[in-house]
Amino acid sequence: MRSSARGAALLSVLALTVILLMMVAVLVKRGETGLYRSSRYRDGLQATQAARGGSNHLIALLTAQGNYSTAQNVSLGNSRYSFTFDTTQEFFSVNNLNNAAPSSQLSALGRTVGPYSADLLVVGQCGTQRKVAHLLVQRGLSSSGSVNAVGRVNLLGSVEVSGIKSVLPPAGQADPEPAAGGIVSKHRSASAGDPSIAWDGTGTFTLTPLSRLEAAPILSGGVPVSANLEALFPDSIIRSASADTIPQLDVTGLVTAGQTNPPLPGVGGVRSGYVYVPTDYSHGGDLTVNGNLELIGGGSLYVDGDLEVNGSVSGTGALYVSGNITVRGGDAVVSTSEPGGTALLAGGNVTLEGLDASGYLDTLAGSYGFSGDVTRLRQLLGNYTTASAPGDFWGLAADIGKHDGPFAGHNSYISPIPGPDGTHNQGFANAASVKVALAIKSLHPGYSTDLRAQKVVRALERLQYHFRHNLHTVAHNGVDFVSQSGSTTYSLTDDYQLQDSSGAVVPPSAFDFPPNAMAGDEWDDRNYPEPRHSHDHLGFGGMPFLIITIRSTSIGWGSLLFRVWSTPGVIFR
Amino acid sequence: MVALALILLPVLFVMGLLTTNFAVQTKSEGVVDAAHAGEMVLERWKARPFAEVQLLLGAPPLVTQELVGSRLYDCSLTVMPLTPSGLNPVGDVLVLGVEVTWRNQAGLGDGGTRQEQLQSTTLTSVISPGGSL
Repeated sequence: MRSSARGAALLSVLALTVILLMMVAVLVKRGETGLYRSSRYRDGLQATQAARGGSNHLIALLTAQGNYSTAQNVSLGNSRYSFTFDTTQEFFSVNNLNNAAPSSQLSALGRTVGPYSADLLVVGQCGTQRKVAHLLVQRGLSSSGSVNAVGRVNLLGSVEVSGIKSVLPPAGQADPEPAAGGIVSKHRSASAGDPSIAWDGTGTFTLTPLSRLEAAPILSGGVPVSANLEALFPDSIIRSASADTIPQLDVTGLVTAGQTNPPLPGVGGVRSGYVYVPTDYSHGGDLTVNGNLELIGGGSLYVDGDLEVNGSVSGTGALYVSGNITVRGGDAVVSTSEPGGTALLAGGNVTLEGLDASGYLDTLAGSYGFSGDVTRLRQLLGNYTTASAPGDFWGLAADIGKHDGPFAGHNSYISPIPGPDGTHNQGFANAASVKVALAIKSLHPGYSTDLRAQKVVRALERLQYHFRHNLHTVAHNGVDFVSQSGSTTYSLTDDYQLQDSSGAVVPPSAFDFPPNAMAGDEWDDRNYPEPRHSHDHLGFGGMPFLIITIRSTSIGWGSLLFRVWSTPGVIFR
Repeated sequence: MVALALILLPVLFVMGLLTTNFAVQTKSEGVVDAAHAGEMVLERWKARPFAEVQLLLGAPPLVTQELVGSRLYDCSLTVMPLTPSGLNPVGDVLVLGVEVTWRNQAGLGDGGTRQEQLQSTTLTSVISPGGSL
C-alpha cells in the first residue's frame, strides 16, 4: 500500500513537471520571438535613418554638382546606405537636373522624370532590414510654408495666410489654385509672453483651410502661438514643426558671389518708377526703389546692403540681399515655387508692410474732381460683366485699356508692365483706366509721398494691362525702352510717354505709320496662360478675373517681420 | 526527503526559467524603447537649423536622458563629418550618431541578489545644409 502510494506521488510529480516544462518552453519561445521581433524593429528604424541620411548626402552632392551620377555605398557602423545611377540595378536614380526637357530614361518606377528634376532612390540597410527612400527633387526654390522664419513671427494688423500653387489661376478659373501654406517659426518659445508666432489681435486674421501655423517644439513654460491664435485656430496649429526643416543658407556668400554680375543699370542708391531686372544684376550698398521692382524671366538682383521697395515686387526671379528687405505699400507677391513667383532671401530681416487702399480711389476722386472719370470706368467694367457678344467684349476692352473714343489728339500711353514676351504695349491717354491714373498723378499734389495713392495707381496700371491691345510694343533691355528694330532707345516719362535721348516726346503718330518707331504687327499671345492674354484673345464670356473696385493687397500682410529662408533646390514629396 | 527534493527541484528549475523569460521580455521592450529614444534625439536635432548642429561638431558627446515608457535612457549624441573626405569634399555633410544606454535586469545572481546588465544600441544618420530628412 505504502509503495503504491509513493509510486503514485512520483508519477504525479513527474506529470506536473512535464506540464510545467511545456509551459515554460512556450514562454521561453515567446520571449525569444519577442526579442527577435524587437531587434528587427530596431534594425528597421536604423535602416530608415540610414536611407534618409543617404538622401541628405545625395542632396548635398547634387547641390554641389548638378550632373552628379556616381554610385556610393556608405557604411555608418552597423547600418549603411547606397545609391546608384546604373539603370541595370533594381533601385536606380535618374538625374535630369541640368536638362530643360524630360529625361528619355524612365525612373525605376517607370515614370517620366521632368525637366530640371531628379528621381532618386536611396537604399538603407541594417541587419536583415532594408528601407528605400524615394525623392523627387527639382531645381529652384521651394518651401512648404508661405513664410519660414528662423526667429519669431510677429503679425500686426489684418493678416491673411494662404497658399497657392501658382500665381496664375488654372484655365477658366478666377482664383489661383489653393495649396498648403502657412507660417513656420523655428523660434522655441520659453514663456507665454514669448510665443513663436504672435498676432497683436487688431483687424482680422484669415487662415485658409489648407494653411497651418507651425512652431518649433516649445521649451518649458512656452507656447507655440499667442492665445488669440490658439483660440481662433485650435485645429490648425502644429506644435512641433520637426517635419519642416529650414536649412542654413549662406545669403551673404550668395550676395558676395553675385556681385560679379553687371551692376543694376542707373545711377545711385535711390531709383524711381519701374525698375526692371530681366537678367542677373548686382548692386553694392543700400538700394531704395520708390516704385515697382519687376523681375522678368528669372532675373536675380544681388544687393550687398539693405533693400527698400516703396511699391511692389513682382514677376519671376529672386532677390538676394545681405541686409534687410523692406517692401512697403505694394503687393509683394512672394512665392518660393515656380512658375511666376518671387523669392526673397535676406541675410537680415524681411518686412512686408501691406497697405489697404480700398475705398481710397473714391476719396481721391472726390477731393480732386475726377469722380466722372471713375464713374465712367466703373460703368465700362460693369458692362463687361453683362456683355454677351464677342464684339461687345472687344469694344469694351478697347475703351478700358486702349482708347475710350477716338484716339486722335490724345497722348500715347506705354504700359509700364511688361507682357509675357517682355514687351510693353501702347495705349492712349483717353483709355478709361489710364485717364483715372493720370488724373491722380497730375491732380493730387501729394502724390509722390502718398503710398496709398501710388498703390491705387498701380492697381489701375494692372487694370489697363489686362485690357491692353497687342499692337505696337516696345521692349525693355533692362536700361532703356527700345524699338522693335532695336535701333532706337527711349525712356518713359512720369505720364507714361516715351521720350528720346534729346528729351523730345515721341508723338502718337509714331506708333501707327511704318516705318516709325513702334510700328509692328500684332503678335499672338494665345499660347500664354489666359490671364496673360491681351484683350484680343481673352476667352469671351469667361474673363479670367475682373477688378471692379480697387482691392487691397491680395496677400494682406498687415505688417510682418520675419526672416525668410528657403530650401535650395529640393521639393520633397 | 527524496520526495521533497523531487518536488523542489522542478519548482526551482521552473522559477529560474520564468525569471530568464521575464528578463528576455524586459530586454525586448528595452531594445524597442531605446530605439525610440535614439530616434527622438535624432529627429529633434535634425529639426534644428543646420548651424546649431554644426556647433556640436568635434564637441564632447551631448548626453541627455529620455523617458520612454517608464524607463530613462541615456542618449549620447556625437556629430562628426562624413568620411572619407572624397564623399564630403566641403566637409559640411555631418554624421549624427546617438548611442543609447540603459540598464536591464538580467536575472538573480548569487545570494538571490538582482543583477543588472548595461545595454546599448546606436542609431546613425546624416544631414547636410540642404537636407535634413
